[in-house]
Amino acid sequence: MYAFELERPSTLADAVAALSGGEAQPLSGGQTLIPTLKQRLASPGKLVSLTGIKELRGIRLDDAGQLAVGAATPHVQVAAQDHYPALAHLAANIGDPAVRNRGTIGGSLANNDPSACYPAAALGSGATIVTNTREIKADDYFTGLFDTALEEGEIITEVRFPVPRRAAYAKFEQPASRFALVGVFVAQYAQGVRVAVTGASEGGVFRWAEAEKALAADFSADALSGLALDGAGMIADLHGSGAYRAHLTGVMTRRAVAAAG
Amino acid sequence: MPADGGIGAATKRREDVRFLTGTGNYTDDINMRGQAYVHFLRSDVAHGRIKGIDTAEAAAMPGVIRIFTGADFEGVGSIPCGWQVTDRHGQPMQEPAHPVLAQGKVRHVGDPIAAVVAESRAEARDAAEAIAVDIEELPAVVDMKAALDDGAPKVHDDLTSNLCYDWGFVEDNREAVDAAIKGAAHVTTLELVNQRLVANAMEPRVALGDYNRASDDSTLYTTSQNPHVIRLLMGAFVLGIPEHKLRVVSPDVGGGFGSKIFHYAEEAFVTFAAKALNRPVKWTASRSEAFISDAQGRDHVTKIELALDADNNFVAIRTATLANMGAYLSTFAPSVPTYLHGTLMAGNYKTPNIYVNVKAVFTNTVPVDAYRGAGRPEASFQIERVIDKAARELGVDPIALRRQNFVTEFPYATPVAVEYDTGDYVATMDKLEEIADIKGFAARRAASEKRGMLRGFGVNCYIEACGIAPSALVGQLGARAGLYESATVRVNATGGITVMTGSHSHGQGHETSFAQVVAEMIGIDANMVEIVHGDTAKVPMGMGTYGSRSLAVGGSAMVRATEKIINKARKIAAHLMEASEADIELKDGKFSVAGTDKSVAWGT
Repeated sequence: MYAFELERPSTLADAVAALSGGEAQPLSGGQTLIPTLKQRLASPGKLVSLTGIKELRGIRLDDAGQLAVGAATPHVQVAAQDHYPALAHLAANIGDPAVRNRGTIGGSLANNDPSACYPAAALGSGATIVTNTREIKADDYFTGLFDTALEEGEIITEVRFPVPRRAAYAKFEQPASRFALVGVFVAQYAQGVRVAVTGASEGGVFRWAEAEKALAADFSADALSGLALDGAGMIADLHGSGAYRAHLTGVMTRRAVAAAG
Repeated sequence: MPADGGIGAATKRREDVRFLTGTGNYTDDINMRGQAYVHFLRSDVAHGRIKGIDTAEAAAMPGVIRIFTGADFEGVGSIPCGWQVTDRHGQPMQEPAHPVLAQGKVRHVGDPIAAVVAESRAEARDAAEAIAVDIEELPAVVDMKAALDDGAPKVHDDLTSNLCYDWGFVEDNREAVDAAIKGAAHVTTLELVNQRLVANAMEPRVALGDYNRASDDSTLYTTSQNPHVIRLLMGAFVLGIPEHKLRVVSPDVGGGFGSKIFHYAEEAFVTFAAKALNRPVKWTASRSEAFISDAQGRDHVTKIELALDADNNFVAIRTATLANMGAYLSTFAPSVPTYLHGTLMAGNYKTPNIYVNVKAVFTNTVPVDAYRGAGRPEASFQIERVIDKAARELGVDPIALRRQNFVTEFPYATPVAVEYDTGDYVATMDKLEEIADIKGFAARRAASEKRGMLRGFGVNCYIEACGIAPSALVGQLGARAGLYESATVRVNATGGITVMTGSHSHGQGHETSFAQVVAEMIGIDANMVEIVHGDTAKVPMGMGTYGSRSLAVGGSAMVRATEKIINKARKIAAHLMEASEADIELKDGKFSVAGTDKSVAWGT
């Protein structure tokens, strides 16, 4: 780790001001950033910790009945809420207890790791990512591998999830890291079905349009038979080839649909 | 039997109290007043010529005490190899120098180029990044076959080639084996890769050097499976420190799997630097560093041929193995593919003709040495796999083929230099078939298939030479030190026993199990016995823990020492009870005079 300054603002306004100084980088739960610093792969001059800001923490139902999760809320608290059980289940199975107690939803979404769980929930639920300056629809937010629509210095403040009729997340775990080798989030709303896939694509989390269409007509695992993704553009590494991940996406989607009941 | 059950009694491990409550004492837990920290700048190329090292900027950075390079180690010895293999032409293996810090060339990713000693770990690491090393990258060889090609880049310029040795075992068998294979009814051939792996003990390696200027004593605290061996290798061959001026301490050790047997450059460095700077110097490996500085395991490529006669009797085995040594010879590296491997090549089978050829090869990779079983699993893997393949080719049952060829008469002298004294492989296989319910397998497979599942079945036999002893034998085979073990059993005034053993636990739980052995011999509870190990100042001599030798060799020394104690105690008991020594019986910790009610208890 290289030497850096640490600021711990207690208000959002102070955090925004602290981040405006060029070399500064926001720090939330630090579950990715701290290991990166330890490996000396990043050398920010200043870290601005967001976890001491009260207004960024906590879970509530907003006026529209959406589940609004403060960006600095750790996974354990999301796992403990019962308004959106599929989201609770997802949060309860991220990483290990240390990760779940330190890691935050805002940090995960800002990092947009292609194998992280939360991007699947946000995209699969059609969530709204609220920042200090605007509201971004999940469909516009995830722009690629470790890439998002966030501007320099922009801070996620809250994530609003419309609560579906039924939903489930099925993850095939990479057992060492507990990241998703492939994870599929399926949610059924009055307007239709959303299927979001993490861990599989080189472009990061994506929606599987054909599966959504099939499930909108018939929300059952059988409705997916015959549907298959192409291995091209899928992540290929020592854990599995692109074709393997494409196949696994189909399997996990069926499991998610079955679990959603 | 002692009241607590003695040998093998289920008990809680006494060492777990400290391990489970975070009060273990690992090498990294030791910190000394005035301690400085070293960070090694390591090569990021596999092969290169060092044209210059500029440390000026780094030396001026905050906290930097001194920067060492290879030039500081001229006149210091080479990291030694503890085993010399003689090739099939009677020539000794090619043995390259292994400097503490690279001199002239780097030969693998991770080869240390410079060492920064600073007031803190972070300052040492910061300064190491500021060192400018001018390296001319050279073509590297990482593939063993390519390394043996004419004109291949040489890992060591002063050796004739990248071939460390060409070993034949038993060389006199070669012609008979060739002839048997030529005349065989069937020959099954198999090529196998036993891939390289990283040992990855839970505790990374740590070394802390300390020096006492008043007494000229050096102390090395290190994560080792055998502190006495480190004292011998480092003291005698690298730094020139006699045993009485060098203490090596290995406190709690968090796993080794073999990788903590060997003497490493970092140990010599911290001991050397502590004296040069008159300050304790500490190094703690990061996990990433462990991947490029700990000796790795396996890395064999083998072709094995199994010849059978028309009745499916094994008539010959011939193997040709390439064994990767990496860039330098680690402490026991040459012994692993040879004597720890070739001697096991008969397996459990009476094959009359066996010839093993091993070519050990230098490559631009991290050194390879003993890892879990070391050479013996590699041998078993080859034999058992080729038998399975032969069974498939011949359309016979793999268990029946094994049974037909089992050694059944003992003692049995194998064609690969070892004698099996006893064994009953047929009875073992009978038992295996019973507990695995082989007869029911077909039905289980059918049931699985009905559910759309696959069910497989595999069988493997294994015989292993454990212990790596005695000294006379291993000396004949090339070991440069005797592989004996020592034990001192001390009876304290009130009957408690302190056992000093040269074996050392790196997770095995010797403090519990060894205490049971001594306690049962006397008939007292194990809590009367304390096991002391891991410190050359407390234990007079030792050879350490590896090759499944702790109980077989270290335990035997302990038993012999305890027998001497019992015999001496018997004399004292006879004297106390005014009886003849021949009439004294020891039972349950009590000496009594046969046929009387006279007795004295242990410790009175």
